[in-house]
Amino acid sequence: MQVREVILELFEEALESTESRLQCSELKDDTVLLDSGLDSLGFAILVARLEEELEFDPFVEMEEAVYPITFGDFVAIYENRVKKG
Amino acid sequence: MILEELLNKVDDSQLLWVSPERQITAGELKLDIVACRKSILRTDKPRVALELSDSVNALTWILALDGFSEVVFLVPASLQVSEGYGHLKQQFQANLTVTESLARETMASAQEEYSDGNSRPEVRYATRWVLATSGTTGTPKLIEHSTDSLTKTCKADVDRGKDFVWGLVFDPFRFAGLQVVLQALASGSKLVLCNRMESLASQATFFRDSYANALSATPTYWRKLLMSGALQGHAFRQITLGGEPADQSVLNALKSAFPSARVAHIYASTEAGVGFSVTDGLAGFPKRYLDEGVAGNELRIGDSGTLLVKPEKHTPASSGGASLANDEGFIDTGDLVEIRDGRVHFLGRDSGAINVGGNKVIPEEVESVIREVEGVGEVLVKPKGSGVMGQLVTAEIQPLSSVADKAVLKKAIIAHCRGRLEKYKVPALIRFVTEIEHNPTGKISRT
Repeated sequence: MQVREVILELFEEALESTESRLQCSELKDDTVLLDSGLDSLGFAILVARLEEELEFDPFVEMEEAVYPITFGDFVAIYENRVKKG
Repeated sequence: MILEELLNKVDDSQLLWVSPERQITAGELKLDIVACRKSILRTDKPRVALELSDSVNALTWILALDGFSEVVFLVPASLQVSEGYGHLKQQFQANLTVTESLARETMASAQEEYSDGNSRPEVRYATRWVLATSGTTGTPKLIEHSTDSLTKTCKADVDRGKDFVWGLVFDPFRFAGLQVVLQALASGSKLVLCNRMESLASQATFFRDSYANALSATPTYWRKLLMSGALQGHAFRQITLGGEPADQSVLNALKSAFPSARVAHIYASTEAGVGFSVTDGLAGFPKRYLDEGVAGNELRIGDSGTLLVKPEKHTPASSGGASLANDEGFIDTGDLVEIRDGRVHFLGRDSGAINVGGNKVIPEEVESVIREVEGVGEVLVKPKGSGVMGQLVTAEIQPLSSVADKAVLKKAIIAHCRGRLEKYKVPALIRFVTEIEHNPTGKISRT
């Protein structure tokens, strides 16, 4: 499964576990994460669940910290990490 | 000195506090203080519980009460509605409770200035301030401070202070919030009260539109602000992080997003009074502080690995008078630390308390709720580090042998926790294990 698909699936799960709903019709690359309906607790849960599935947390590994603003930024951080191996 | 005298440092026409509902100048504030004091003076030896929700009112009363009441209990909004508050209030033995309706009546009465025929009453008391901590067992503890101990680290440079406009997002009745309020007052800086606004977006907009340029908030708040894109490129002069340990990532990200700002992270504990700030842009604090001390405080690592602090003076006491310090004057902060690369880093609380974005979670509380679910044998709740929230709650479950489907049990646990616990206390991750380790005394090992 592609990283993007894993993220989409766990995003749904994180929404559900914080009892929130998507605030837009679908997640697009320019969707601002904190406007998506997922609050920062949900976002933290998403990162923790992704670490369980993918066995890395790119935010812990980063030397220069980046906080993603859009969904596209977020996916890119994971995709770049996978490319690097 | 009483706090009201800080107002003499600025012109009466200077705007001091701005909230979405109202704004107040130093001169108007002085009039309101006269009105508040009238009702205080009617009470003999006032022991005051301040139960106010309007921020401007709350701060006005703090200034009016200093020097004119024996002791004041600052009751945070979240504590007022909590179960244990009735008991705490009884323990405190208030003889004057200031609520919003009393505050409204007081302010509505005719405003008068102190003048020759109506002279300023003499200062009567060295007022003590009672602040609630979230406590190690989940029950708040009351800690007493003096006005001096609360203001001892406030910089009082009005020349520099006039260039700063502070935003407030903490509750002003909690230690971190009160520090921001007193710092702004002592240096004659305007204070923008965002703390009663619900969303981060509206706080950020109000902050920007009020030309605020200094803000103290938790690392979790700052990460959220960075992720929201709000205040991008804002010309901050001062960025302060407190309430949770600041990690290197958030410090770096703030420095690069707001290059004009001075970035400081504060270590403070309500028990020890104010601590100290670190401004070198690195997480933790330099190891040499253990030898040299910092900001007049002596530091030491205790036998159980926690940080001990010996405040310069004005040692706070628990309400009721018991000293919190050991024979040598050191207070145990309960914060576990370790030395790594010449720095002292924070590991968490010795009580095992988990800090989820500034909210304290007691593992035992979550464990007892999980044990109520059928099929759960043993359970261990632990923190997991999170780059977003500081820490998250995780649970390890040892299921009973009768459990056939773990996925079903997991769902049942989460549903049960959601019904019983606040959102941030519900385990973010649940793992099943074959055995939960116990230490030789039979207790679950938390480390």
